[in-house]
Amino acid sequence: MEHSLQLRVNGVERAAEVPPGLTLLEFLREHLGLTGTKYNCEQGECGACTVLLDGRAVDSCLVLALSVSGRAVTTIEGVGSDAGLDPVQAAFLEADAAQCGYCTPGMIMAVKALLAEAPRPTHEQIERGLEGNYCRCTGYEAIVEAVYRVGSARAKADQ
Amino acid sequence: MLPRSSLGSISWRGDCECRRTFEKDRVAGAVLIGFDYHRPGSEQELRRLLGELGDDTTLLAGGTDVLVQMRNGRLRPRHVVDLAAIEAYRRLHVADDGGLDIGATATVSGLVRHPHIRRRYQALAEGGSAVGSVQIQNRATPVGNICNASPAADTVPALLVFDTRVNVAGVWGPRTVPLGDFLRGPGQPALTAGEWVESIQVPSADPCGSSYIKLGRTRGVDLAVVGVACRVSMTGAAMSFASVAPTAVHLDISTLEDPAAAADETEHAIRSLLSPIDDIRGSAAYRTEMALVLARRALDTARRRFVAAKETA
Repeated sequence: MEHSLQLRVNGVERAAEVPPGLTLLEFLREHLGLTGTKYNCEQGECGACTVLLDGRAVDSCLVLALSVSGRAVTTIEGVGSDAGLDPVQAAFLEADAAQCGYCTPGMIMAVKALLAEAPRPTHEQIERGLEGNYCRCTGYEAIVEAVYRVGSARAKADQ
Repeated sequence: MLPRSSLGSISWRGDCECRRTFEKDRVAGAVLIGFDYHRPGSEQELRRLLGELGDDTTLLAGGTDVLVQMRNGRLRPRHVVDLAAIEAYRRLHVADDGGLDIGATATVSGLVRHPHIRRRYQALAEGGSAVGSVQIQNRATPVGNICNASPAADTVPALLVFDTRVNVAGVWGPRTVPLGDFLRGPGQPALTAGEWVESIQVPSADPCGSSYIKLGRTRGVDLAVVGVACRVSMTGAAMSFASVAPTAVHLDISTLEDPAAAADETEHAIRSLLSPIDDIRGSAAYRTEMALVLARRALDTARRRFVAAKETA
């Protein structure tokens, strides 16, 4: 039995008829073709499926799409644009914070959520904010460096 | 990692019509199939629905346990009833006396961020921060945490040291149960068919100091090897432990006056209280020793915070 779903995805209103068990992750990838958000553990451990739900980071593998009908989702496709990279994306490039790149979309979404709460996060805050995002390639240091760079660039800009 | 096609919760009810109906779900890209979804807009609607749907029904709050269990086959409901549309259940209210009224779908994140909770119920904010990750906290709920009734639940020890009460609603009318009595065993909340938890209530706290410390195998998303909450106030002191018994366990240490004697007495009391098991996260012996270490640290922190609270009160 299908139900009506309304979701604002990256600023665009979407409507669809979907089955009960369809997760937000499946909806984004299979129905909308937004494959930036990744399948991985599907248990809410690795964070590869992280998206922003009304600005807050969530594991989309653990959200039934119908459960968040009427709300707003931001995926990696909604970060930066053809006009230019988001500062977080630029920092990831500068700091060499991506190797295979599989964790990167989820990692960037988690960083965006972290910076929205703490524009200049401490090391402790960065660790807390990224606890739910695993990377098997980089050893995390370059990622933490990237977050510091965004933080200090922002501080300089504010001066 | 299993290929996606072999994951999923299938609950065939025997007849071919049912199977064909749910196969369409799989074609639409859904791995979780075999159930109907309901989204009541009010408590009255929820009550009516639960009366109609029967026992094979799972309530959905944050979904951070339910979806995992549906995916691994541990939960195979025929109906999922989503509480997301019941506005009143999202509440996280501070009462006039400073106590907390936490609705069924209030998130762990809401708890962690709340200034009043961070100030007056520190162990609760710390317990919430220990749950999984920021992503999980943004969806998970304390009520869901207690209804899932894992012995490792990170919000439970703090809720216990603050004497939390559970408001159960159901077809036989409302009742209120102390949290300690509500948790009967691993995965066994004291709920019969047709009942659900509407909210939990944390009584107002005198100026106190409290602390929650979790020992995990990793800084990332992990269940507690041991978790200890401690609360020190004018009226006494209490401790509660996760992951060292079938349910979280609670110890009143108020009567232990003399600090020197108290250490041995407390240690003895704690050892008698614990009944940990060997499992993938740690051995029983390790858990016991770590419980004692964490208890000492949590007590020190709670005492320090109590002194600070008295000074600013």
